[in-house]
Amino acid sequence: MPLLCPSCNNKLMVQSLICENCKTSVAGSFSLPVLANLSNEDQQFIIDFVKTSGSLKDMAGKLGLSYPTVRNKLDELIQKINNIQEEKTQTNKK
Amino acid sequence: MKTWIYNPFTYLAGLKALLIGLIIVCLSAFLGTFNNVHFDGVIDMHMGTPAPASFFYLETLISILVMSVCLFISGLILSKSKIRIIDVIGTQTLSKAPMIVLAIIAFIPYFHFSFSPDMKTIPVNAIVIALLCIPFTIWSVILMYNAYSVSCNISGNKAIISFIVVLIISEILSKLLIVSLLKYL
Repeated sequence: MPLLCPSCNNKLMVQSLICENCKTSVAGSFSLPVLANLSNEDQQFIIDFVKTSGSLKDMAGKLGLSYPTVRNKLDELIQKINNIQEEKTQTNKK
Repeated sequence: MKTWIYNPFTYLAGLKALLIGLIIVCLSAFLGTFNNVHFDGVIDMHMGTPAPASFFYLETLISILVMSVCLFISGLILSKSKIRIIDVIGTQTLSKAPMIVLAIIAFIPYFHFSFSPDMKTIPVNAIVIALLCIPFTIWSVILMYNAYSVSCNISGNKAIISFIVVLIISEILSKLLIVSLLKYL
């Protein structure tokens, strides 16, 4: 799913959601959830992390990487999520 | 392939790296006993001084331990991550792997030389072996830096400056400890 505008590189918002069953459309201006702001690779990392019950050791084994590499990746993700949440807070204040 | 040569710690750290590293380091020390090759510092290699066999193992293990402890302390101060000492020690031990090549090269008869008593002339073979040591030492230092960067999650200028400072301090400390060990043995 694209996250940035291909024209001006600004963040994209969700304008409408549709029900596939009854074709009801809900329109508005919805910001993406925090996790949806992450790249596919980062989202997959989080899914794998949850599936291994939060065990970095198991994650390392599954990904074929060393423990510190996986830990560093997680710390990087935590920082990204913190940045996104801070940005959302700033936008809401405006 | 490049990652495995310059930064195998992306895939290998902790106890596994320590065990593989220890095997290589002990083998280097064992080979060193035949030609009096001493790995007596953080990035040092010297040839020629006879010593008890245990000394060859102890001096290299002391230098690894000193460097690991100093880097771990640096990591505790500078890193935002929760670091493990086993990762630091394991990766630092493995980063000594290129030095085994120098222990093997020392078997070549051309590199068995002695300096003249007045020390006014340097044998050509001494210069050749010194030049041969350079690429492997550089490779080992690159591995040591990448080991530090990965195991302590530090990068950029912070990593470079702290690594250089720790390298100098560790070199001094390990030399002092090894000299004290020699007196004791």
